[in-house]
Amino acid sequence: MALLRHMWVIGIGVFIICAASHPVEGASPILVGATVSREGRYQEPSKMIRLSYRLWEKQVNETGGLLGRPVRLVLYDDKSQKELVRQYYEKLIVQDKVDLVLAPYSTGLTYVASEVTEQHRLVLLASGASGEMIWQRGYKYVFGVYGLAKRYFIGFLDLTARNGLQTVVILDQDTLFTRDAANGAQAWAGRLGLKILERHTYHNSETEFPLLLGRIKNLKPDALLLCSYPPDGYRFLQALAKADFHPRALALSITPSLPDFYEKAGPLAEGVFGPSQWEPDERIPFPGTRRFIRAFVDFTGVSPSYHAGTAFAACQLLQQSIGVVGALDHPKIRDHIAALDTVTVIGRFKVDPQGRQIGHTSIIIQWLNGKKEIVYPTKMQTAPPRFNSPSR
Amino acid sequence: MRHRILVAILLPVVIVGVLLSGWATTALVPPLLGFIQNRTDAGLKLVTNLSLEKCEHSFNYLLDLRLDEDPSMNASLKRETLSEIKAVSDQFDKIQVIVLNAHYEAISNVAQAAASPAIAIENLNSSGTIVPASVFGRPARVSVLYFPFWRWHIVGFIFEKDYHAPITMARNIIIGGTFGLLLAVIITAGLAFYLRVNQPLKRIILAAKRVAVGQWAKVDPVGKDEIGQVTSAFNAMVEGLEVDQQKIKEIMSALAESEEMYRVITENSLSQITLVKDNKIIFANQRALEDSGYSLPEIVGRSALTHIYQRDRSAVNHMASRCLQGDPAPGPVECHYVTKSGELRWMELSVVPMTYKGQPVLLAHGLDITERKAAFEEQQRLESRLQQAQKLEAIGTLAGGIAHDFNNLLMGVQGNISLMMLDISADNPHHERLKNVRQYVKTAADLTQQLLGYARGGKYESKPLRLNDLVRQTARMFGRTKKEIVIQVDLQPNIWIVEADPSQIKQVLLNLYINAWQAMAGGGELHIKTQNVSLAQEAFKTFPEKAGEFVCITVTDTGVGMDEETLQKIFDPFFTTKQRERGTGLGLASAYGIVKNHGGGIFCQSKPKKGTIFFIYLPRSEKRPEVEAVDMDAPQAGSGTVLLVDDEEMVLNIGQEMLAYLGYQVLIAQSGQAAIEILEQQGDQIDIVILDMIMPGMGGAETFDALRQIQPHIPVLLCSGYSIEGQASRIMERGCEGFIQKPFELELLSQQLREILKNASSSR
Repeated sequence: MALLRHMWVIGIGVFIICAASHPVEGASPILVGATVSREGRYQEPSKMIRLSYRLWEKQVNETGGLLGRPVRLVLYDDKSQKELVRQYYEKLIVQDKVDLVLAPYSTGLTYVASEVTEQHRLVLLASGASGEMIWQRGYKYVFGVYGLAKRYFIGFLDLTARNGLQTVVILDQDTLFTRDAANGAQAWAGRLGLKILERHTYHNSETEFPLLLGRIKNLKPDALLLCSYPPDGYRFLQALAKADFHPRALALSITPSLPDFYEKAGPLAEGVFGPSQWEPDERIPFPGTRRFIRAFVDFTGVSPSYHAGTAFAACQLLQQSIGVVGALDHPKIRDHIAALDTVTVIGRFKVDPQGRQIGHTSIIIQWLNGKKEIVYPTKMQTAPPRFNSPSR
Repeated sequence: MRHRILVAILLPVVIVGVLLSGWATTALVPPLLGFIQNRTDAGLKLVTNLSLEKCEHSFNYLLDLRLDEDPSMNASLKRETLSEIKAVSDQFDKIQVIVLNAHYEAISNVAQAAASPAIAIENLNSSGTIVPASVFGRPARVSVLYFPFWRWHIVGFIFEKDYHAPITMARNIIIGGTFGLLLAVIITAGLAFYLRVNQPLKRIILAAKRVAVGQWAKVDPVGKDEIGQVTSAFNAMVEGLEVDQQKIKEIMSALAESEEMYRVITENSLSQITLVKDNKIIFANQRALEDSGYSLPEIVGRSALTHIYQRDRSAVNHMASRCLQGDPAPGPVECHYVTKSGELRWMELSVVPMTYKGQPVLLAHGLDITERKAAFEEQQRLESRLQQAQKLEAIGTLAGGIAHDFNNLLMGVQGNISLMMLDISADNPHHERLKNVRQYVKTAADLTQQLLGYARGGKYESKPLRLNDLVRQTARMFGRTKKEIVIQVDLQPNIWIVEADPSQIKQVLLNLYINAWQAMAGGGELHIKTQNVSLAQEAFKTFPEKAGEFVCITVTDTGVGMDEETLQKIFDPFFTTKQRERGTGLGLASAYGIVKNHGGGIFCQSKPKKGTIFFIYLPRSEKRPEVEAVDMDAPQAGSGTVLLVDDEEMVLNIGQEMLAYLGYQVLIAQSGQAAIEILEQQGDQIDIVILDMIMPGMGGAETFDALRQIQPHIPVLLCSGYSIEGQASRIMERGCEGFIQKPFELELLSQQLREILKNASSSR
C-alpha cells in the first residue's frame, strides 16, 4: 500500500479512480468530478467521503444509472491543500468536462472549490463543510448538508449546563472550520449560562499543548472543548493524559465521530464527547439509513462515519434532483434543491435562502464503554450522558 | 386428641402457609412496592423529561429558524412550551409539572404559586433525581431538570399522599390477598381432608379396632386413590394377618410344646442348672432351688461363688476362668456347696460357656453327690473291711494249716508223754520233768487253740447257753487276779439264749479283759454289760452281715484308748502294741475268728485317752440250754478192735500205742484206700474206726463214705488237727459218730471211744 502511494506521488500526482460500475449500454457516462484528500490533515474524514462516493457510483450504475446513463466518478487527490483543490476543480470542469461536481472535505477546501463551481454555475452540495463563511458570499449554487459549525457544540454545552457544570475552557485550531466552531461554542456557552474560563486558539499542537494544558489544568474547568481535526485530537488526548488532567466533560470536534476513534485512542477515548452530523446507528429511523449502513459495511468493510453519511446523502440529493429535473440542467437543479424539504439517510434536508443547512440538526455522541452512543438530542438518545466525577 | 392426624397435617400446612405468606409478604411486597414506586418514579421522570423535550424542541425550532435570539419569538415559544408542558402533565394522573425561572419563581401554575411558596427544596438538584420536597406547602416528591437556554427549572412532582396511595393499596392487596388465599387453602384442605381422608381413615380405624379384638373385619373399597389403595392394602393386610395369625397360633403351639418340653427337662433335671453372668446367677432350675433351699427371687442376682464352700471356691473359680478362656468343657470339679440352711453338701460341678441374649454366660451343671459320696465312702469302708476279712481269712487258713500240723506234732509228744508217765512213778526224778513237758504241750496246744480260734477252727462244740453265766464266771475269775481294776458287771435279766462254744467265748472274754487290764496300767474301771438287741438291717450295716436279734456283750475300759490307725489293725494276727514278751498278737485275732465263727460280730470303738469299747454280738438261739458238766475222768480201759486211719506215721504210732494202752486191738491204715481194704477184709472184727480227716489221695470224707458203703453202721470217730467247721461238720452231718481234735489226751480218747461204742451197742 505504501509502495502504491509512493508511485502516485512520484507520478502525475493525480489519481483517478475509474469505477468498475456496470455501464448502461448505448449511453455515454455522466462524469461526476471531485477531489478527495488522500494525504494531509483531512485524509481520514475524506477517506470516508471517497468511499461513499464510490458506493453511490456503484449503486447508481447497478440500478440503471442516472438519466439512463452510467455514472463515472472522476476524483483527484487534493492532498488537503486548497490550491490543488482549486486547480483540480478547474480541470474537472474545463478539461474533463464533468457533468456534475461533488464537494471535497473541510470548510476550507469547500470554500475554495465552491469559488470554482460557482463561477461555472455548477451545483455543489457541500457535504464536508459547515463553516458559515461559505454561505456568506451570496453564492447561489452552494448548498449546505451539515449543520453549521458554530452550532456544533450547542448540544454539548446544553448538556453540561443541564447537568450542573458551570465552567468551560474552549480551545481551537487556527482553521476556518475550527475557529467557526469555537466561536459558536463560545457564544452558546454564554447563552446557556456557562462561564468561559479561557478561549485560546493554537497554531502548533505539538509545541503548545503541554504548556497550554498545564495552565488550563490550574483553572480547573468543569468542561474542556477542543475544536480541531483528527491528528490534533489524538495528540490532545495524549497530552491530557500526560498532564493527568481529567475535566468532568471533554468534547472534541470531528475526531470522536470517526469509527476507529476508540481503536486509535484506546482508553483515552472513554467518556469523550463529540459533535456529529449523523451516526451509523440502525436505530435511527430515517429512510434508507439501515440499507446504506449495511451496503457501506459490505462495500468497504468498515462502518461509515457521519462524513460518509453526509457524502452519500449529497449524492442522493443530487441524484434525486436530477431525476426530478430530468436533465443535467444546473440552474434547474439548483432551484429544485433550494426548495427541497426532504429526508435523506442522515435526516432532514432543508436550506435557507443563502443555501445554509437549517433542516439538519447536529447530534452529540459520547464514547461509553468502548461504544459510541448518541446522548443529544434527548429524543435520539441511545444512552444517557456521563460526566466524570469532580475529583477526576 | 381425636383429630390428631388432621392437626398433624394441617398444622404444618398452616405453619408453612403462614411462613410462606409471611415470606411472600416480606419478599414480594418490597419488590412489588418497589415496582410501583419505580413506576411512579418513572412516570415522574417521564413527565419531567417530556417537559424538557418540549423545551428542547422549542429550542431546536428557534435554532432552525435562526430566531433563537429573537425576543418575541422566544417569548411566544416559551408560552407555547409551557402550554405543551401542561398538556403533558395533564396526561398523568397525580403528577404535575411546575416550571421555575432562573430565580426559582413559578412561571406555570401561577395561581397555585400565589397561595403558597411554589417549592421549598434544599440544594435543588437538576439531575432529574427524585427527592422529597415541599410543593405549594405540601410534602411531595420532585424531579427537577434544568433547561439552560431559558434558565428554566422544570419540576415534575407528585404529592406524597398521592405518591404513597398506590403503594399502600398494593401492600394491603398483597397482604390481604395472601392471607385470604391461605385461609381458603386451609379451609379447602381441611374440608378435603375430612371428606377424602378422615372419613375413610375412620372406617379403617374402626375396622382395625375390630381386627385388634380378633374380628377379621375388612373395609369397603373407596376408589383407587391413595386412600383407596390404603383400604385395599388394609384389607390385604387383614387377610394376611388372618393367615399369619393361624400360622402364629400353630407356631406358638409348637413353641409352647417345645418350651414345655424344655421347661420340663430343665425343671425336672436331676442336675442343678444355673446360668451365671458376671458371677451373678441369672437363672436356676427347680433342682437348684430345691437343693439350695432358695427361692428363685432370692437366688437370682446372688454371687454364684457365695454358694460354694469357701475352701472349694478357688477350684471352682479356676474352672470358670478356664471356661471363659475358651476351654469348652473344663471340669467337672467336686466341691461343697452351702444351702440356705447352712448345710454343706457335695456337688459335682461342671460349666460350659455359652451366649445368652448376646452376652457371654456360663451354664453350670451341678449334681448333688452327697449320697453318692457317702455311699462311695461306705463302699470304700466295706471294701476295706472285705479286704481285711479276706486278709484275715487267708491268714486264718494259714494259721489253721500250721495249727493242724503242729497239733499232729503235739499229738505225738502228748501221746508219748502220756505213755511215759504211765510207766514212771511219781517219785521218779523224770516224772516232774514229764509233767512239765506235758504242761508245755498243753500250753502249746493252747497256742494252737488260739490259732484255730482265729482260723475259725477251734469250735469244737456249740451248745445253747446263757451268756450272763459265762460273763459272770469270767469276770469273777479275772477280778480275783487283777485287784487294781474295778470291774462292773451289768447283766440284763432274761438274757436271750445263744448257741456257742463256752470255752471259746471264755477265751474271747478273757482276751478282752486282759487287753483292758493292759490298757489301764495305773488301774481303772472295766465295765461289762450284756443286753438283748434287735438290729434292723440298716442299723446293722456296720456290724454283722445280717440283721436280727442278738445278745450284745460290751466290754468298756477307761484305758489309754487307741488311735484310728491302731484301731484298723487290732484284729490282724500278730499285731500287737505290747512288748514282745507280753503278747502274741493272736488274742484279738482269735476273738475275731471265734465270734465270726459263731455268726456274730465283734467291733471296737476307741479314742486315745478316752478308753475303749468292744461290742460282741452273738445271734439269739431258740434252743434251750443244756446243763452238762464236763468231767475229765481218768482214762478207762476198753475193748474191741479199732481201725486207726491216718497218713501221719507218727500219729499212727502214738495212736496205736495209746489205743493199745487202753486195751483196744489196733489195726492201722496209712491211707483211705488201705482202710477200705482192711475193712473189707476184716470188717467183722473192727468195732470202730478212728478216721483222720485230712489225708493225701482219698481224704477223710471220701474214705468215710466208702467205709459206710462197706459197713453202713460201723462207728467212726473223726479226728483232725483242723476244727470241726468245714469238711468235718459235713462228715458229721452224714452220720459220723464223733469228732476229736488233735492233739488229744488219753483221757479224752478213752471217753470218746467208750461213749461211741456204748451208743453203738445200745443202738444194735
